[in-house]
Amino acid sequence: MNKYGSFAGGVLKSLFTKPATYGYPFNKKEYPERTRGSIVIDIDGCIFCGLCEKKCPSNAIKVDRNSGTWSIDRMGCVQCENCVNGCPKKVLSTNVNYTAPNTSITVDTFKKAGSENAESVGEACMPKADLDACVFCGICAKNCPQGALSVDRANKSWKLDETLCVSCGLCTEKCPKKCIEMGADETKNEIALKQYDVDDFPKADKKSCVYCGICALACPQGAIELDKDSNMWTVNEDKCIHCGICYYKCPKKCIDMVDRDTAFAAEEENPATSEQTNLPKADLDKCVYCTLCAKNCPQGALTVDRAEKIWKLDADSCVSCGLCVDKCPKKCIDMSASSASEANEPEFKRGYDIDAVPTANLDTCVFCGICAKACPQDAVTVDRENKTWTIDEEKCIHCAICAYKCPKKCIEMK
Amino acid sequence: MSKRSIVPFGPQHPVLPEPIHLDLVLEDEKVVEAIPSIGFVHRGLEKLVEKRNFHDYMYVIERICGICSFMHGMGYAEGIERIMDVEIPDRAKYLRTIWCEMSRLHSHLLWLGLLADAFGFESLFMHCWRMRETILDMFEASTGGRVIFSVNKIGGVLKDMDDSMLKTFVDMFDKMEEEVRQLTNVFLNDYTVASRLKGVGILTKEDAILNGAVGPMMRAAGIESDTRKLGYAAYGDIDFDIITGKDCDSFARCEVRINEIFQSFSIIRQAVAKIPAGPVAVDVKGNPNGEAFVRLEQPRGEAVFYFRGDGTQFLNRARVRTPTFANIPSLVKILEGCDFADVPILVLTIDPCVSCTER
Repeated sequence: MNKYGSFAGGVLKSLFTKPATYGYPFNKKEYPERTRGSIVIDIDGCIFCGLCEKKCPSNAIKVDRNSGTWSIDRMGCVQCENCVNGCPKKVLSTNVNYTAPNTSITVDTFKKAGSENAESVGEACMPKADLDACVFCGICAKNCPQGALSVDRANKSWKLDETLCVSCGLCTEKCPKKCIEMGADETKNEIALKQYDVDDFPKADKKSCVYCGICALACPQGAIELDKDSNMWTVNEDKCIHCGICYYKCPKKCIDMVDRDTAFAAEEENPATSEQTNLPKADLDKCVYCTLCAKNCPQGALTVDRAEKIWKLDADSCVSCGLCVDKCPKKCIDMSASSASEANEPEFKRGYDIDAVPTANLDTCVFCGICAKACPQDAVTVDRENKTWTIDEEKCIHCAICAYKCPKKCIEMK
Repeated sequence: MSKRSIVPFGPQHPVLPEPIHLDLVLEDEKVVEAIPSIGFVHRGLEKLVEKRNFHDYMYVIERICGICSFMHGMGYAEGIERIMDVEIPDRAKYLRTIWCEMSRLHSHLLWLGLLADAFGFESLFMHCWRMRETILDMFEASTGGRVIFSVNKIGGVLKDMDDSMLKTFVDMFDKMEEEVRQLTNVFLNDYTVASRLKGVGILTKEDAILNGAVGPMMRAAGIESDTRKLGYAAYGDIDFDIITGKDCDSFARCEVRINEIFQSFSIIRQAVAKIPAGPVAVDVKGNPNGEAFVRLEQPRGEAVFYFRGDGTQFLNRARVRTPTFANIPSLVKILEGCDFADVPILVLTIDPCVSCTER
């Protein structure tokens, strides 16, 4: 079986055939149509939404909305075509020709004509649908490059996930009824109603709950009680009106609407210890001022200004839910313990005189009685029939819980 | 008893395109022990999963390796599809199968070339790589990339191959098969090749199991182990046998890989004949929440992928157990007692991919 010179035939054949090589650079290779050589941009159509920058795996693309420039580091680009596939305006494409070799790092910058003033590019703003005109066809959601829109025809809901929206305006363009506007105001849209049985109760998943208390504050009936130290989260079966507001308000999305048996099932001891009450802190060396943290803050406690490079936390509003840390794409926000003392129960921090007594503005009061239920001393009495609101100054301990709980915000500490 | 000496092998060595280091403990010309060390090209690609949107991470994970890049991307896509319960279109499954086998073809041809180079058969090496070049051109025509294909996506594939392209490819493979046959006959029948490979680097069936060998290493020891039989992508619809060897030596490993080249031609032909029409991808909404294990048969052997998501757009964890990593214990085993001059060839017979191993 084993032979000598079994390759002799092949060698002889090779002697009389042309070389298999091309003879570059005199003979250039024809690239097939699909070759990903380099990225080209039609800058006139670009809306500087920054999606390509986000999608680029090697961070080779930089987009500046303010100055209207789009630049690419030619050496950093790995020609993966992710930006081309992700561009909502389809202004990016691949060219079969590679960029010319160079001895230094080449950054190609493209500037949109007439983009000196920021207005021609447009400020970042969120779309908002006019729900009276909307027919819930779902075309906007199908076209959204970020999947930020969810439209449900059955429930007549139109919902925008503001964390995902990049303000590309594609929904506005595609809307057949032209009922979507890119509003500069960040008014929250109607929350889509979750389908749950009208008898379902909320139940918090204690594994992800951070005991921020937003659910308890939001509950119009004061049916939720929670305690961070003992990992306690309970809902009062008699008080709960199954409105689901806690479910929508929960920043960690750890509350679910479940049937009665599941909601009140005896649960095993939860060993998971919750995080300490800390305040988030951004590493400004890393921060890109993308405002995602601010957009996600359920309490509106964060102020981020990209133009001024400001990242500010209102410690009083912060409930230490950690959502900003989760959502930060740069992972530059830290829940460090440095300012823990300040952060204790920030929502009850006094902004009033220690001897002030709550007073209700009877013009706006709806006599719902939530304040009376919330008062730990039973000092508040509300009579809906006779439209009276009284406080027993002897019993009052000036805790201001009534003012916090008031859904109409008509109680003042005077 | 003769005097022991330690000879360092690598990370820079003519036979190795990639850096792996071995401390060879020699007694005269015999290796008595080999101590491997890796860590020269670690890039931390698995960690990046925490910082990249899970759709975009596709372009990171396929850069784990320059040879199995398609299968790394595919393993990731399969894993996320499993977590999110996405059923991809049949046409995408067949396209993935075809590209997988093309990857295997070019990987095995590359390996044959490297092997020929290692035992000093330069012209054979050149011819193997000439064949491989044709496959790279086919990759470029079908995916747009020669090495990194960027054609997988979660929910299918990004590019379709139309019937005329598939037909052209099959015609090219038919022509190529003849040429490859002549080429591999040299490996199988030539006296010089046999003298370097036969009876060298024996990894018995028991040792292969004990050291957890995978891929052609394992199959050359006579063990039927091929994860393609799990039926991922379209492999469930394709008729093929697991190729095994008998002699457990370097020659058997070479023979297994050569037979797999012809098997790949056959699988591609079957897939092209059976490929259904239809879309190549489905839309994927939402974020992965859960975990998944995926096992794929890469050219070098079985790769194991693990992914865990927590419902956000960033995964918690990605882990890839690459075949070369699994084969290093077997390599150490076959190096024990071999001649010093055989070390380069034995290192090559596991088909090492160090970039994969270190990620």
